[in-house]
Amino acid sequence: MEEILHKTAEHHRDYTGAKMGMWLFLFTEMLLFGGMFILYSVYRFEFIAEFHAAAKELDTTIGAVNTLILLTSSLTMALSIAALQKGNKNLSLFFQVVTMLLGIAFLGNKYLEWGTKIHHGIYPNSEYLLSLGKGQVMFYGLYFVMTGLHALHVLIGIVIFVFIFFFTLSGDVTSDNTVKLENSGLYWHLVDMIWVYLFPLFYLIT
Amino acid sequence: MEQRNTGHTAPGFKTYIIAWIALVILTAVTIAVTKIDTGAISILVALLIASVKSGLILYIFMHLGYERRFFKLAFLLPVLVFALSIWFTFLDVWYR
Repeated sequence: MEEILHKTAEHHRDYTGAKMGMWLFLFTEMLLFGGMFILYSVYRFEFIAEFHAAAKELDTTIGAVNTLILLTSSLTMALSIAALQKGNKNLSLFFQVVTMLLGIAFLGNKYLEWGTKIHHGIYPNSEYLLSLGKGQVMFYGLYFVMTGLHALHVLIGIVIFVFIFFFTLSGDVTSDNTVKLENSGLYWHLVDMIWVYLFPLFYLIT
Repeated sequence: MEQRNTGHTAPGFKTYIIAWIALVILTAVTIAVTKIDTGAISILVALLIASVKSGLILYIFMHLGYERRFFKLAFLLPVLVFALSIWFTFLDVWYR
């Protein structure tokens, strides 16, 4: 009897519960970034001209490339789940690796972008930035904090995928038990969704 | 005790690829619109397209369209909290 109970406990899984927990976490993430978007819109209304002038410095091309990278990584993420559910473990692993590489490419672009800004003397509290005036200081403050926090989320996502890759390899994540992979996917898609708003708000102010 | 591995039927490869193509096209449209238009209209259009894009991500990539009703209703919670936060913030900003 005890053995049966033990076995039951061992195999117990709560798919819906795991999903609910993940969605609740994502709600808090949405509100975390949401608060910053409100802050952004308040200051955008207050410093319309300054925001326009400051946004001209941002490279639309690099922003568009990063948008394409994240959208594609969302696709490969979704495909890795679909592949595993169809029982194709190797294809799923392949798509997981592609997703990770796209995440790394995104961070590489971000590094180049921030590097150029810092090289031009634009970074929080820099002499050049402080000479530009309040609106520009606000714009770049929000730019560095919001894209920085977003990039941190991308980095965390890549680390999660390293774990999921080994879970899939070792058979902890299987075609019958995909919830870990699915929840990591939900997180990754949310990070993509936040970028969908960041891109027009920072790079496409004309 | 084996449980069903998913609570819903997931979309296939084809649906995901179509969604991705739509997302890429919408990104191109956003860039084009903000290049042509100026002023408040372009911001509104850009935000509207961004919301359609996040709707696609939520519904197809995040499976919200295939989940049970509970998840769809639960999603209204952060939307409502966010809308209230916007409202109260701008009440403060405009009537200060």
